[in-house]
Amino acid sequence: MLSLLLSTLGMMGLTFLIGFFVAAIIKLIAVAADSLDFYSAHHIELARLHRWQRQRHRVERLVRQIPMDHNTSDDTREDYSKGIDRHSDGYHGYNHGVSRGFLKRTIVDCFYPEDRRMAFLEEQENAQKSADKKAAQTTDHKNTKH
Amino acid sequence: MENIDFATLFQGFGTMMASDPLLIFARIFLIFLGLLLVYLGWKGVLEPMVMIPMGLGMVAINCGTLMMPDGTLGNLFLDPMLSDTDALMDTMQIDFLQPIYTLSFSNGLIACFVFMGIGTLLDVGFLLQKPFASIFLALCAELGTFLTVPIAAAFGLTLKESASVAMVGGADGPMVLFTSLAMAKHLFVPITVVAYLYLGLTYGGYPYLVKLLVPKRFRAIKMTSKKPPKNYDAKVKLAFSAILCAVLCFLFPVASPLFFSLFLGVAVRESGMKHIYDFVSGPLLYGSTFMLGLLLGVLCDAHLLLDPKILKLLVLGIVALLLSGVGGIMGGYIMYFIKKGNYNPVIGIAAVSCVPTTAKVAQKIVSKDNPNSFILGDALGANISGVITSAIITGIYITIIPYL
Repeated sequence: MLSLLLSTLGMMGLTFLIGFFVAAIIKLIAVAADSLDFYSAHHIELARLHRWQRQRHRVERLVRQIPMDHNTSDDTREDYSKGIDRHSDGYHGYNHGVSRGFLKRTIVDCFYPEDRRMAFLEEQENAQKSADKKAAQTTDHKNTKH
Repeated sequence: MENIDFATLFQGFGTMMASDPLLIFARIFLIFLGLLLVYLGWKGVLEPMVMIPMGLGMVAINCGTLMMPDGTLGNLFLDPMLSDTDALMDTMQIDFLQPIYTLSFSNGLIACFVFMGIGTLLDVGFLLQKPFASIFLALCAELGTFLTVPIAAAFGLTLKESASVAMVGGADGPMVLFTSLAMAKHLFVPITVVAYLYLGLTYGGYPYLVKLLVPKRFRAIKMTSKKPPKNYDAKVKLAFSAILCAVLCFLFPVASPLFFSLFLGVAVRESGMKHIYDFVSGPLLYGSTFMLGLLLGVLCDAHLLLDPKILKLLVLGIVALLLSGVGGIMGGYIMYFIKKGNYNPVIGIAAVSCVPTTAKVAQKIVSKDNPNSFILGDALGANISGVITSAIITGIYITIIPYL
């Protein structure tokens, strides 16, 4: 009877062992499924980011192709701030650290922000207009004298 | 005109009058028991799908006994004791249930069909979420399956008979049928009848056991989880069924038909074969269960009750189921202490693998004490584990017991 009890306990132990082995296999399947799921989700996320990046590049290319207004007004200060002086004589390219010698342009051309340049141009234009007006007045005055 | 007496004309009464009083009493008792089973099945106290055909079968076989040409008592349903091929072939052409019995019952095919159908009912996702807790509970709930073996041996049964009747503790009908067919073929009818009778009682009996062993404050525990429950893909569940089937068949080739049937059911459920799923979970499962009940009923003739071992089997069957229930609740308490109070011990009863009855019983009891507590997921995980551990024990018994 004792031996039967021991045998039963032995079979019970074996069942526990196999049961936990089966549980470990099930856990392994669940963990593998979770990992695959995570990898798959991660993969999808990466693909989405790549897609966004491609779209961004495409938009950037498109934006660059559109001619901008201030470029047409011959405003070269952006280039100049990057060290490119398209107006320097004989050399078009990178100029930082290199003496350009005599410049034809004023300091306003090179360093003043655009609004100041516009203000300066307006001022010049007004001055020119007033000069023209003055000249016109003097001409009229001379004609009336004659 | 030849002299025809009443007993010759109405052989049901005739055989009753010609029998000895004990047999008459047994036949009358079984007729009334059959009627009671039909009534209880109709009322829903016991499983109607099994109990109504079983009860009617009991009534018919005990009323419809007739005198055979050789002078013995017999019937036109089936003869379970035939083994001679010629006699079997002759009987198969006369007894209408003999072909079904010989070709599907006595070789365990019907048990495998039922198991296949059970497989289609299992959502292994619950088991994948908490495999260790579920399997641990299921192992605890097999206490009756183990302890009944030495108890039955002390009652005077052989080791194979003891192991067969101990399987009632697993609360899995097809498993009991399969084990007793493999190990104690001469007792498989009474053991299976006892098993199915008691399995029908789990729905009504286990709530009292739970209320007796688990105080209300424990029954009302609401479990909280930090992580939301994860839903596993069908392909993961399919991989689960394939891998586990391979591992368990590799470990226990003798029980491989059971493992194969169970995991085939799971695979059918998860593989999206709609028509096959509809067939296996519907006509195959219910048809097999119905035929199982019918055959068990017609196998319950009076000689069964007069078997001196039947009383022992009745006692051992209830002992096995009670011990398993107690073991499951003990496992629930152990999990309660491991999880530091965040576990409802009632889940332990669901580990007794009567799919899905015990899981439903557990949820019903808990809902009554705390309507906000939802344990069905964990209960079903333990329930499914119970089926797997019962199959493992079947494999262990069939493999090891012959060597003891």
